[in-house]
Amino acid sequence: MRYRLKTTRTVMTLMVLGGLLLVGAGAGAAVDGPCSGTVTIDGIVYSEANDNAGDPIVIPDEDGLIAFWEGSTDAPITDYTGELGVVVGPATIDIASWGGANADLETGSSGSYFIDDARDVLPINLVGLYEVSGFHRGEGGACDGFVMVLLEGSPLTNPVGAGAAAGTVLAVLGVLSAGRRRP
Amino acid sequence: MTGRPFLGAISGLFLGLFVALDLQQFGVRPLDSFGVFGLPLIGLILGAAFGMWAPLGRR
Repeated sequence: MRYRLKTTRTVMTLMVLGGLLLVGAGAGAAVDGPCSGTVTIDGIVYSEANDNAGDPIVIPDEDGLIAFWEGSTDAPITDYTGELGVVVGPATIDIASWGGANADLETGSSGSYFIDDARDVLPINLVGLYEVSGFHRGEGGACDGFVMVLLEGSPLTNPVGAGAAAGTVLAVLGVLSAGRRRP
Repeated sequence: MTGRPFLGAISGLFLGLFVALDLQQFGVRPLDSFGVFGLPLIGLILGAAFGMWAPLGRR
């Protein structure tokens, strides 16, 4: 399967970690369609059922973790295309797309990925909860869906989290100032 | 109108946006449409109302 990254390396972690179910097996986890898949991280098996904020795919903030993934389709999907993106508000930021013929008529694959490899290319240590959605379509079937991915770590130790916390404090002060009665 | 409703609206708008970011960063909810539009809109309205109400300070 050929991958073609479309955006910066900053979102690479989300593609690799969050999209394992959708991208990794070429027929990953999807809420809708003839696809299924799992990923095992730190001894915990995740599937397409991890699609809500209360039960996300958890990426611990630890070194040396390996994600083992596998996926399959009910029947071969040929001449396929697919995309993966991170949902931000009403939009989805595409982070990867792929396509191929699947001339061998494969219906499944598996592999592993060193999570540290993704972290190494990030300019900052991303943390927080992300919705990763995508699709995989072609002759013989179509799958689409999303999973929730939680990147563990302290929000206050990265620029986004620290900035948001500081901005919250400033905004609260602004609101309080606005509520002061003028003479 | 005795407070600063415009300041309240702007501050409330950013408060909603930053709260949405905080929730995402702390793993409570992703940055969905409600976070990007809903919370800032609620903040804007409540901030403006708070500025008009102006309950703080001497009467």
